[in-house]
Amino acid sequence: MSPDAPRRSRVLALTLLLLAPPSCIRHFHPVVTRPPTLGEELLSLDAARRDGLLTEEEFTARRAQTIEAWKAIGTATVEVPEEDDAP
Amino acid sequence: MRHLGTLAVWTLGALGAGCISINEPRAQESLTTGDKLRAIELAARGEPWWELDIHEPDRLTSMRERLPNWCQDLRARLLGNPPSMYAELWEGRHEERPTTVAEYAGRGPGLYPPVDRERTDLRRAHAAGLLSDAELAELESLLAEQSKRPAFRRPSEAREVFAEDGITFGGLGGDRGIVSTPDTRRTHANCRWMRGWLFDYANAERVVGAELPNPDPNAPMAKSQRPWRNPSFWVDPGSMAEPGSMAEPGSMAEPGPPATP
Repeated sequence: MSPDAPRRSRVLALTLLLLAPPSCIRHFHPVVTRPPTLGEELLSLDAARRDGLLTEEEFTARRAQTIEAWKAIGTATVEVPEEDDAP
Repeated sequence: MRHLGTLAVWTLGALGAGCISINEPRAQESLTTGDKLRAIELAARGEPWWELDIHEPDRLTSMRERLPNWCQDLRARLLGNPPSMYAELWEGRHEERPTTVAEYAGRGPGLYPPVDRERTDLRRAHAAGLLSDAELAELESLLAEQSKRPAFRRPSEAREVFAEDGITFGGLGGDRGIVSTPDTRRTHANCRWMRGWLFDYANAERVVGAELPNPDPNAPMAKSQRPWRNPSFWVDPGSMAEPGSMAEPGSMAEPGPPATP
């Protein structure tokens, strides 16, 4: 293989892309929304408790619920909507 | 030469098919419960009103009168529902089709925070006395199991969209800019979250019989606001729904019993 092959490949690809009509290139920007880390959530709960925004009982219950919910991530299922029902 | 030929055939094929798709996923993390409690507290004190951009004096007065009740109700909803730890993938703006699972798995950021950050934060929580030694060991073991599903968690992240505290605004709700410092960014996110809820309360009161669009403030940030976009797919750890079925947005507020890891 010629040592210039990679360079020629890049030049060819660039040329073809430049020749393509702009409508041929479509950008997609999906957005993933996800929970904070478990540690961050626990630290924020602790800070809220210390600032008086959360009682001791509420903190204890929330801490346990959060850990249980986090443990279940490993068994999560992926659900795909079947049809478009955009509002 | 063979590489050159392959590349030429691939490119011509892509062009011949009519398009080249460039998939650029972005990520946004939900606020923590502590952040939300702080936002409610700020709203109850009237501090974020500068964000509300309401010009009708009567409407502003009416909202201020109801504010204590709304804040009380929101706090009760927040702590009365279990925390949400599920991720969702949403279509971007102006897109003709949803992203598929295969596309996302190949090119997107992890659906959940990366392993290195998750581990670091677990150890910070342990150092703060919030996790026992046994709990830390168990959680780190589970994290290692979770990281075997690469679409769920990447080892680490270096993408620009992931800010230091994990909160970005691109593509959700119109705020395009990223504010410079983590503290400012977090404060801004808190205000946006609270502002969305205040408008929802106000709108629900204006229409007789109307209810809040999403009654659970534990839902991810995008869903706690108006349902402006369809999810492409979501990952719900607590879901007991059959694969392929689509739950109503309201039902996301009531995840099923946690599965045994």
